[in-house]
Amino acid sequence: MVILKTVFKKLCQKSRRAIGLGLVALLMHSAPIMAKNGLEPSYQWGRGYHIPSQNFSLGGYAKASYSYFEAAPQELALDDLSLFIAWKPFAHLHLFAELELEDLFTLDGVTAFDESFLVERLYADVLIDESFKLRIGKFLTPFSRWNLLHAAPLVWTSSRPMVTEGFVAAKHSTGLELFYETSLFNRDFNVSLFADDSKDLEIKSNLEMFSYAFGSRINYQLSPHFNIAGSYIAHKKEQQTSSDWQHTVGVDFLWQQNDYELQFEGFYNVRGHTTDQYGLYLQGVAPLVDKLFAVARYEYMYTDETWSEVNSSSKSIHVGVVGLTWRPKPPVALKVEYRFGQNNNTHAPSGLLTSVALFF
Amino acid sequence: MNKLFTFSLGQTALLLCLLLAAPLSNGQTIAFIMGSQNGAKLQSLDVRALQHIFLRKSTLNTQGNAWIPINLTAETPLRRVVTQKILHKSTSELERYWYEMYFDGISPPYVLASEEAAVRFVIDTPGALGYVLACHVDKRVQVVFELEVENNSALSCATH
Repeated sequence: MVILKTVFKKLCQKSRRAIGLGLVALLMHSAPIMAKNGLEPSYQWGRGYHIPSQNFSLGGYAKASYSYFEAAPQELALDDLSLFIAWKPFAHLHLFAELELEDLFTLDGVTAFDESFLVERLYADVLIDESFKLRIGKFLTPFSRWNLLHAAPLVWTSSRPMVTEGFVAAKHSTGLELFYETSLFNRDFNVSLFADDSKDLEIKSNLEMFSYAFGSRINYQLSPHFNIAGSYIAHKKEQQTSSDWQHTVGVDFLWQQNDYELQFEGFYNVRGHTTDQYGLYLQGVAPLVDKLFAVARYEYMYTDETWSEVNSSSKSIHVGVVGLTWRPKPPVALKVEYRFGQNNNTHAPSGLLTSVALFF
Repeated sequence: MNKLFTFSLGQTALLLCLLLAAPLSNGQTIAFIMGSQNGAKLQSLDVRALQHIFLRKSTLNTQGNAWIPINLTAETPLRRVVTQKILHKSTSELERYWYEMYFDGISPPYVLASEEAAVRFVIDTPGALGYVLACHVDKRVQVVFELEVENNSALSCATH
């Protein structure tokens, strides 16, 4: 593992200069995108504000929630207030930032700005050609399907499945990600490879972030309604005590048709000298009446005792979620759900969770 | 009985051919167009390429320039046909798709109010790709793909 880390660091150092020079050359030959006659700046609810002549857009989403837990304090909060900033100054360059105020207002009062403010994502996409794209900066870790599309108005429940919470694979990575998009048997086939150096690059550190990581994700569109993916990550985290690299594999799928949906994710995490962890969730969505949907999810996780309840001898956590989601207008989602389970009090306490989320 | 059956089958086949040929002969063509900048011959596209361009999955052409797809307004019959035949997504699937893309800072194609506006836009804008009824194509544009569709009274050459 020491060799792995050394090779990884050397590769990073050597490739930095080459990548930098390559990018400058690419952008120097990249034409600015032409002005678009007849297209005025406009705002559309749920799609943001656009200035076509500058290829610039501004948008975001917000989420407020109230949760009543059976064995924990109730929570009321403005969980997320996210701002998207996108700019495409050249044909080969796309800049994107997501700035977030997290838990700005809670039952405890107003959170200090510097505690609440997060740079969720901040990256430059360099389009190398039709198939290859290089992302540089801070981005969502390409491990979990949920993590890549976690915005509250997009997902079906107020709560996030345990296995996507970032306890195993960090939610964010800072470094490089290379995308390759092609067709295989006339279906979309996407590969991404990433390398993370959060220990040196991340400004605001936290215990759940990677120190170093690299990995890949492969997604294949089996049919227009069915996508399947596999992911692998080798990583070290800030919070781990041993010097071992962790290895995690994940599989996931998403089937969507006629407003029905079935989503699955599972992972297996090997941590050297300590116990392996694994987990999964399966979530189904079905339309009830116009714009009202029923949602059900089962989650399972096998992990350290420190994860489950203090007095429990079991390392298995079971969680069930049943709920309703109403989407009266496309950018808005109102959700109510009941969560229950076994050994779940620490990380997914039982209770009633409600939220309203919208894109603006 | 066998002879009678064979004869009936032949007649049925003939009738079917005539019935199938009738709508084809009255079918309409949707032309995907780009400007004839510098008179250079443009690459032809296929349905899959168009799908990727209009879903903003493909953003660069083979020359390394940006694709700028152009849609007509959502209620336009021509757009509805293109959505169905090229994008193969229902309205709700498409809505969800664009919100997912919005989360990554990617916007849907720009929308123009008429086929004439689309023609003018693609003429003026390198990389722009629009669609019009074939009867509205003129020398100012190049056709990069033709989509044959069944006769649809809502698709009229009278409106532009």
